[in-house]
Amino acid sequence: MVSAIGRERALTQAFVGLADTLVSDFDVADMLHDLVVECVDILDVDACGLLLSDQRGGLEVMASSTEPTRMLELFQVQTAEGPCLDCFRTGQQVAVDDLQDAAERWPRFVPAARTAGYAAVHAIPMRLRNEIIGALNLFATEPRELSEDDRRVAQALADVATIGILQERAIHHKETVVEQLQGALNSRIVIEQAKGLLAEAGNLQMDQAFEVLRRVARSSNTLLATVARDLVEGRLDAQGVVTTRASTPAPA
Amino acid sequence: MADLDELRSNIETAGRATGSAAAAVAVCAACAQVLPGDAAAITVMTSDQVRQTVYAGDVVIEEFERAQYNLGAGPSLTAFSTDRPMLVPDLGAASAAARWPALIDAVSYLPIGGLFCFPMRLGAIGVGVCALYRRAAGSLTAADVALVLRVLDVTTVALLDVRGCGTGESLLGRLLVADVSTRRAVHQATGMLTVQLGVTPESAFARLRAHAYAQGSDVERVAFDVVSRRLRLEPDHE
Repeated sequence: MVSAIGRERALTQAFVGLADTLVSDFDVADMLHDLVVECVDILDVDACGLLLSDQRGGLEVMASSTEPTRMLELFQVQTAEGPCLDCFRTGQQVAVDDLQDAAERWPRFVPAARTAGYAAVHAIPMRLRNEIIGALNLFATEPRELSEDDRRVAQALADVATIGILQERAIHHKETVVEQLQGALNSRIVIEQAKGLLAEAGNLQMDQAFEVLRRVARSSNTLLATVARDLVEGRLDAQGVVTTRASTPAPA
Repeated sequence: MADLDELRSNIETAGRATGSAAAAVAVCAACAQVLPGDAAAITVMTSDQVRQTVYAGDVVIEEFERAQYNLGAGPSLTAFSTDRPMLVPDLGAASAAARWPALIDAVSYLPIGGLFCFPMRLGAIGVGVCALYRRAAGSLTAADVALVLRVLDVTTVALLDVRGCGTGESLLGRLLVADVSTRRAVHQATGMLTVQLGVTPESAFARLRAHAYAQGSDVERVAFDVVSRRLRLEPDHE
């Protein structure tokens, strides 16, 4: 049992740690692992697991305080059944004070959970407004209720973690957009440069030069931009390319 | 901040303008309204060579940006590559002329007192530069600088938003791709010069700039001359 002061300290530490994620670079996996370990302590449960949407319609077990918990979370994902799944689907807290009473509701999950030694489960949604990104799941080895106070604390921890994750995803996504953009742009530029290079080397019009470029790319099964870059950076000899320009197809 | 809420709402409206170039310009215009100074220009860039001034509040700042493109060196490039604002309270001061002699000489006819360049970034990646000027010389206040930084954050996010752009490209994307098309001649001329001069593309582009400067012309005009074969350049003989 954690003392009141000890718990307050642990809680403050947890919030400070989560708040850090909003202002600096952080590792999501690390953050989530710390969170589940801290939840066990702060909420006085026996284990904690966390499921996160993989953004493609599935769920991933992102963190768990013990190996049996991880297996149990995985089990829910694989059987598509369980209080944590329901929590994720509905975005509402799911409280199972005594698993014994829930055997009909989750016929596969309940026996598996009891075999793993758990008697109660409380699932807390990770959501921001309408976006549900996962579920934070608390396990106890004895049947128990989660007090109003505890549920509020658990939800607050889940909320701060959710904001951190969404923020990091938004930035990462936008950085990816910019990187892809720059890549596409650089490709288009180098293709124009290669056209000029071939036009000069072979005394060609620009559109003829482009045809030569396309022919080389096709016959070597390479991307246009790659051929262009090879020419412009001197890895491919322009003279060689323009003098072997075929004007008639080979006879059958 | 009330200003920024109104700005966000104006951006929303602007982003719905038909044609992504028009939408991008409208977004920038909405942001420029809120900026201090006499006028601002927003130049989107991925490097010294690839840049487009997508919005210019008046012809003065537009000319200044054109001069920076023609000459290569300048406070916008410094701000972009160092990721720090480049604040020049008096463009006419000796220190500016010492730092960018060719540029200051080229823009001496422009009525610019204070010139302030701010990098626009997303995370680790540079997206462009905002250059704003005042006819009168003098520094920006700390409050002005803070406002500029916040407005530019909002602008950058808006330009990179892919929602509402049918093909999933951002406004920024469409603009830069369009720039490659309109500046096609510059890139083609660069390619031609790599052969004419036997040099790298970077050196070829530098020669293009140098020739334009020597002739009192524009990089784009010289590029057209090269591509239409009215102009050949000879290798430097050191």
